[in-house]
Amino acid sequence: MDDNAIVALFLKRTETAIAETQKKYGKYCHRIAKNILENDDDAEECVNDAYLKLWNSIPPNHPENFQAFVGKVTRNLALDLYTKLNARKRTNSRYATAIDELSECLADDSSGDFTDDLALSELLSSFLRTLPEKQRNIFIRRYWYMDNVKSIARTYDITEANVNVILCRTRDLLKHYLESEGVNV
Amino acid sequence: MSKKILYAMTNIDDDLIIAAAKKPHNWRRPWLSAIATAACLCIVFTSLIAAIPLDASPIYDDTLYDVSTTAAVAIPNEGASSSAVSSIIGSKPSYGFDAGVKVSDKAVYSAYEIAELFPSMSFSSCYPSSNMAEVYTTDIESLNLRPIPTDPYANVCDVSGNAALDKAELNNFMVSNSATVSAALNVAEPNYKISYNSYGQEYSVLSEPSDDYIIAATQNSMYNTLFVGSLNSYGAANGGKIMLDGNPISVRRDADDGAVISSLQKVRERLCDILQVNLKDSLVTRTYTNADSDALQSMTVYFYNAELGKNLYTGMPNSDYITLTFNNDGGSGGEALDQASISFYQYRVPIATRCEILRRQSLISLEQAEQQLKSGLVYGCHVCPLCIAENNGRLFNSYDAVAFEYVTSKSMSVPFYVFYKKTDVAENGIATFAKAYVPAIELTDMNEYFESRVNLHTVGNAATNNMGK
Repeated sequence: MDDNAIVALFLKRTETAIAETQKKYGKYCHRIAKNILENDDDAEECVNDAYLKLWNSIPPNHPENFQAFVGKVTRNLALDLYTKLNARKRTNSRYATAIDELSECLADDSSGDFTDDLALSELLSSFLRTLPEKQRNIFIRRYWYMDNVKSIARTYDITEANVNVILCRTRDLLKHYLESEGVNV
Repeated sequence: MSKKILYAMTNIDDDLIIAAAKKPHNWRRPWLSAIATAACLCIVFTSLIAAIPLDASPIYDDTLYDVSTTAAVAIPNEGASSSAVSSIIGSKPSYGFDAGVKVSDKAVYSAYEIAELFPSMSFSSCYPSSNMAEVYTTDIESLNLRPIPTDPYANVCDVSGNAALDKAELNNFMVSNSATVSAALNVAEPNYKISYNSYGQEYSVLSEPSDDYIIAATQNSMYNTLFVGSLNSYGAANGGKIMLDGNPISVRRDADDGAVISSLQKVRERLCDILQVNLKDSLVTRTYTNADSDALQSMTVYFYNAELGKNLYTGMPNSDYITLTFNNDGGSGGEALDQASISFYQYRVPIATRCEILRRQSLISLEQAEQQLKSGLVYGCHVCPLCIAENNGRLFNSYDAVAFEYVTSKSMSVPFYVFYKKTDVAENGIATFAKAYVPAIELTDMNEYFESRVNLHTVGNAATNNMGK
């Protein structure tokens, strides 16, 4: 079913909207959640929560890009669930690794005073648009989709070392970009 | 800050997220340049190179059938004739434009490239497994399987149409149709806006649904498409029916094709009147599930002009066409199928430019294809060679049928040998056939690609339960 039609079903409060979303984007959502949570059951719970959240958020939202909207809802819920599940323990998950990687180039959370998340998102979008397509997509694959380095290397037919170099350089560029935009990193 | 950035990443611009999800196209460059070169050569040598016979001329093929999961029966044309076709095509040799088309005996396309025809095999979220494509049917004859051609060459085509997107054109299409459609449905014309969908590379009309209907439209490089859907929410007065001039559109679920077409004759005429087209032929297709007690999943009726034939590669009619689809969710509609939607497909490009033959490629033999089948080097679903090879003993040690089918993405149409193996017959008589797709042309990077599938399966840690046992 066309995305517009699915959104219309949500707007009309028709319950088949959930089924149609699941049919079209269930695997996509599961991948996003699984990459963060690294557990099928948790990912499944997260995706189900995402459907509920979609139901409760459309309306008032009327997303123009439904796939991206579904992905964002799922990602946010997965990040929240991860935080909740791992509040007291240190793990070697992809999430923790991603934070570590970003921490190498950006200062620790406590030193940041940039509180407007949406403005930070806009800055990140602007930064990403300055990058060559391949470099940008690799960065997004790693830190949005939380794909592991091996998977990215396979997808782009480059070595894992090459991926790591690209990511490190991009993090470095991001650090300088944020500094140039007045963000205290 | 790093955690903050991870959260803030969530809300980066939509197009960036969608673009990154796509498979990279680096490997396309060599053949794109080859195509560009071929295009140049076409211009120079068109008048010099003799025409190459085609394996089939879609213009003259008046049997419309779906090569995926749909059983279909062609309805005899009303006055179809080759002279009628000739008058439409003029002196242009149908899809000939063979002059200048490159002919290859060596592999040109890569296994990675072909995987893009099967989204579940190119997107890294879909882990390889033993899952096969399946088709459910009353009997395999009803699938109208296309026989293996005797011609040792077949075409690889670009079927995108390649018309530039035009927002104003889509707006005119919506304006010219939504008024008459809304009037026939007795609802107000919808408010709408048009947005670009970068993922689908199309324009979409985002319309405000009425109490009972959604009227929307999309535009891609081939079609303008109008969609009318009925809402079956509890608040919908029509209960999911489409009320055309106050009368519900419905068919009897047990009616044969002739009865379905007869019962919808006035609906066809009225829709043609509303959409200002003249489509005099009808064709019924049905899809099935294997598990439901009422196996019929949906019925789609095409209104089209058979005399223009169908596109050999996409399987769609060459005339503009309307589809009337009846869904049968759980067989809840009693004797009548009345949960319906209507789509109107208006081509944006003339017949002669809907398909560009990129290359004529020599076919591998059926024996070679069978060998690939036994080795598990097949496409079609989440298939992993390891799983298929391990399952091969009971699944594809033998097969029930093999057909020659084109698999088509938005931009490319490629020939395959498709092997069918009956795996189950449900109590309702519906048979399940597993389908395995072996490319009918030689590919580069075959071993590398399928090794990557095995690695992805092993590393992916997602489909271990499905591994062959």
